[in-house]
Amino acid sequence: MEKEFAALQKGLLIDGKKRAVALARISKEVREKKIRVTPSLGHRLYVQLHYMEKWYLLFPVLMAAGLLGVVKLLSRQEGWRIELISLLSSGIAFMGIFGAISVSRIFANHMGELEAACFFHVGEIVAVRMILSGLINGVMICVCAFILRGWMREELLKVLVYILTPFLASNCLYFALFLFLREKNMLFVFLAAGAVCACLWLILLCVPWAYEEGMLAAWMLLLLVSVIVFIGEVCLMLGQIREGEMVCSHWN
Amino acid sequence: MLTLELNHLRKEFKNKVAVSGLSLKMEEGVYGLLGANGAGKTTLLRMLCDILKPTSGSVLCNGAQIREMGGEYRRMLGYLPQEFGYYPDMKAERYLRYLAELKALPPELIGDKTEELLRMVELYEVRNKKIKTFSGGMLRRLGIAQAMLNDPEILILDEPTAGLDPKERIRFRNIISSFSRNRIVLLSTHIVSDVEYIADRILLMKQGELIRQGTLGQITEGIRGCVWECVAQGAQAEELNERYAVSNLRNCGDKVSLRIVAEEKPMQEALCVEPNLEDAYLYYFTVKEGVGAY
Repeated sequence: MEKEFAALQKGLLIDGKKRAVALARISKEVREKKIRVTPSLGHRLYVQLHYMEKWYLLFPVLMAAGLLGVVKLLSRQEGWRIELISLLSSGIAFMGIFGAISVSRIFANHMGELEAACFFHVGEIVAVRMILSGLINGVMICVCAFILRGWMREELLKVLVYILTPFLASNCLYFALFLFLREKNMLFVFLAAGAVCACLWLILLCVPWAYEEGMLAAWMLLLLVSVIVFIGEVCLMLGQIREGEMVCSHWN
Repeated sequence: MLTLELNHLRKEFKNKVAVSGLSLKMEEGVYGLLGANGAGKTTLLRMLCDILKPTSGSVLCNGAQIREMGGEYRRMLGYLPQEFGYYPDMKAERYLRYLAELKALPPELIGDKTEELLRMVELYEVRNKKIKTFSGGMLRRLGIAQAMLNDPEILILDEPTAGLDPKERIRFRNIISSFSRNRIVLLSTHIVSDVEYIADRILLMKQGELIRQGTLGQITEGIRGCVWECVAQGAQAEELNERYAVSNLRNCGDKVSLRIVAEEKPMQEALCVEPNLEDAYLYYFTVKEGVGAY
């Protein structure tokens, strides 16, 4: 090959000046050329999963496992049905705070403002964290419902409604707090709110008719309202993030 | 050529106008933004970074609306906020790698770029320490490093030298000067000397408006004949200090040497001298406001 090139070049007249200009242009292009990468959704999920504090994902798993353990112990008691559901609902209502804490952590320490100026915007980071936390919570709720159904010999859908409703209704409260409060330490606000919600759902122990067949429609209605309110809150939050004032607020 | 154009940019909060209808065209170079606290500098920078939505007006980058460009605009952007954000328990290197991922740097470049910047800001030795253990100066240096991760074409720095010691400030100024070729660098600061040394153009902002802009020479030219130096006895010096804006005051034995910024000659023996940027700052932010003493 080299010989062939050399033979071909013999007849060529190379303009030294033009050659230098062309080489300078090429080296300038090489220096200044930017490689642009657009990460896929999978990569974005991976980045958050890799860099975020894992406790927020681990806590719901540990809590669901603990709750199932306690419920299993109590299920040995004869005639305990409402008690088991109430206890599980109460625990799962508390479990929702970890998702809210994970999202609020983005805005702590003024990190949100910095992330808002990145290619991967803070609104996307919030969405990705909510997806991750939603996936973990969703799986845990399904596992709890499936196991409880076996112990109680109830329909899966019914058990799912009884524990999903407290979870979503409580999340509406947590995200409302997140939207309207700018406290120095949101962690304690969420812990307090979680405790209040857990206690409220335990009150149902004193209202046995709440779990009667005829009340299932009311539970489903509450679930639907919670879903609508929650979606509304998420849209409001993402809108506020895009406007920017929420990102620039003094969280601490 | 890279351009950033602000058209009647306005931002109102509930009962306050932070930026009022500001128009400006920026081309490649270093711009120094000077203004008192509450002048609207940070709000302006946030709008330029597409973090805060303007109430009205627009920002155009090479003729395109930055709001519509979204990620493609932020890809060109490096930003150091006034209150630098970080996760306290993260280690410095991991933090830079995280931000490099958020800035969509190609994965194969992240390691080299992180190391290069950690070395540049002299934090390589402490790269595996948690950020919460860092001093104010180290945090600022880390902030500067993260702003330069994506080799930005538009670099916006809000109070970049706050908390840096004189040696670090000089080093920072040199970094910015060498970095600014073919880019737009906008830095907001209270430290007049930083702007004096590295800015090609100076922007003076007051109550949400741009009251003056130009090169150092153009800004100081505007107050030629308004800077005086004189020597006075103790009581007279005190009186002058109360009456006029004094940019420098120095004791010389039993007398006091004063540098005064005033439209009128403050005393018979006063000599008119060459103005500098500090005098100009004092002139536009105190004398023009009708405040005598500084």
